[in-house]
Amino acid sequence: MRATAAHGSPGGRVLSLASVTTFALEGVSSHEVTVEVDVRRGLSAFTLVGLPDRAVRESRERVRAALLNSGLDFPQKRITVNLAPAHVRKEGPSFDLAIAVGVLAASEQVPSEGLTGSPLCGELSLTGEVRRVRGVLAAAVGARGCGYRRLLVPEANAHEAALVGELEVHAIPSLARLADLLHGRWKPERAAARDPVPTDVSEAPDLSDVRGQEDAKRALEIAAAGGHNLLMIGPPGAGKTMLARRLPGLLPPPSLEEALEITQMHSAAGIGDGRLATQRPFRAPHHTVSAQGLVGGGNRPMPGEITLAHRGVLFLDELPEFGRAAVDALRQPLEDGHVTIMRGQRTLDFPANAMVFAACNRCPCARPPDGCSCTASELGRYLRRLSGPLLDRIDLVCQVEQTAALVLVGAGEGGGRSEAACERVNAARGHQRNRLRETSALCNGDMDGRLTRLHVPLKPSLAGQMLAARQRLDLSGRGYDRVLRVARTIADLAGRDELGPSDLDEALSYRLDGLDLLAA
Amino acid sequence: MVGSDPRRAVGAAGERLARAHLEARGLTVLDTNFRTRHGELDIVAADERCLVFCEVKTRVGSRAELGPFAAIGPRKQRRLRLLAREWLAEHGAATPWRPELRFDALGIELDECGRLLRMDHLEGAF
Repeated sequence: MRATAAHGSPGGRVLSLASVTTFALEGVSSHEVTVEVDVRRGLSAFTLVGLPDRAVRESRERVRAALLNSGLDFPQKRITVNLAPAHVRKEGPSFDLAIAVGVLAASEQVPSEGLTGSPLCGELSLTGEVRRVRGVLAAAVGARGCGYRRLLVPEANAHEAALVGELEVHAIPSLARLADLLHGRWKPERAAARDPVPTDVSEAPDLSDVRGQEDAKRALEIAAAGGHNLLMIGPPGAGKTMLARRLPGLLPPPSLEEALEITQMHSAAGIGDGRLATQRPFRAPHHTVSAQGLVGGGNRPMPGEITLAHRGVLFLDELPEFGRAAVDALRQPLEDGHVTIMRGQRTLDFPANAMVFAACNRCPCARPPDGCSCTASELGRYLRRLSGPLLDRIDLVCQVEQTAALVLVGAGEGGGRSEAACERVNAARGHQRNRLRETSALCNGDMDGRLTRLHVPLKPSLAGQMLAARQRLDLSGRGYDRVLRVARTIADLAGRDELGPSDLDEALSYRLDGLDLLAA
Repeated sequence: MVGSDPRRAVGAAGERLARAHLEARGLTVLDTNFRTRHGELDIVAADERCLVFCEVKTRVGSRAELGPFAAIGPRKQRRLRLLAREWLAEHGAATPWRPELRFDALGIELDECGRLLRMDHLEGAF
């Protein structure tokens, strides 16, 4: 109507405006972007403004072809597309669908009323199909946060977005179907989340597979119970890696909120199949990983391994072989539970609350002690690579010895099963949840200094013990707090409300080990 | 005056129609077919407020999917601006001053007998 009326008007300018909402992935979360499309009479032109990157600028070609191949019209007019807020850099192809729909609405091929209140995202193929995009879960969480009730996403991602329960998610197979939807000719079903992958308990590695190593298993259990960082030092083949693989099985399954967080991180990084995570992640980056790979970053900031291990375990095998820069970059996330990355005009925050399980050999040649040919200086150099500040952030240091031959060849079970340990861990975590229920911390390992002093009060006799230990071990303030947290976890495992001297002794023994070794 | 080249004849017919259209809209045609080594300005016209450089594109039949305007791409637009500068350098002093300057595009479709099927006039096309 409007288009024909203005056609012969003296001004000769037909203008029509549409605005569509979409959500853009930024880091691992998303923010709202308004796509404004203005179509007016003039020589055919397509201008895209609002800091688009290359992939966004290329969307013009995809939008044009997709519209024409869907039996819709790409107007031969002057089209201006603005992506607001204009100061934020726009990346990736997920704006395609919003731009195409904006063009359709501005050229009055679809009614624009259907667009208010339902954000959409998706990449277009030249045929007009809607392709899957990265980070749909983050978009869904963002849409919920902004108060939207409905979200239109690619069919391939719909079950992922549907994990956010309060949102009515519709799966869009193609641009033509979306036009049908806006015309009211098609009423799509509300998309449902896929059932989580069932966890096969019998397949999971069990603690009883590891023979001997009772001390190490105890340390592992404490680490799992309190969410503490752990370093195991021992000869190759002693079972360090085996123990590490069994750590996720000891941890309690993630709560729904935690599972959503885990899935959101993986969705933003483009891994996983869009089902809700039922297991905590276990990430074992190779020791050649760069600092950026470990903590995230890059020109287009991507989450690093520690963010992918969020709410799970980051396993650093051969810790001294890791680059100095990479290991040092871990300091801040280990302390704060998140990574802050600054790139030009923006600051990104990646959650990075993972347990760190590190393993290393006693010496660079990695032969048993009697066959070791390392010189003292080689040994010193190797151990100095375990940067002091990082070691200070590790709560438990545990030495692993070669298992005696008799234990290895012995028949039968190799000791306690994961199930039993898991029960003890769960009970201990229960005590912690109770104690920390009004704070943001989930376990003892999450407590900051203030919470530690509040929840781990020391009787005068214990305070004396700690004072002596502090002088003997030359504990830093941070190390002191960490000892208290580990002691708290040990008491939780034993079901004691009050800290005993033995808890403190055991906690201190896991520091002693580390410092002995460095002094040697 | 029909030339031997049928394409040129179509162009000339279109430009005549365009000129008639502009004059009917109250513009005065100042110059036609202004030629330099860079190319040609089809029509230079003016009213009291505006100096108008017109590019006329004529097609026979409506077979061309994109219409006549598809031929006016960014490179052509640059060349037309250059030609406008050259025209002003040559005739600017002799032309009464107008506050605005505009580039228009006229797309004309003719049938095989040279009858007008459709005319699109984009004011301020670029």
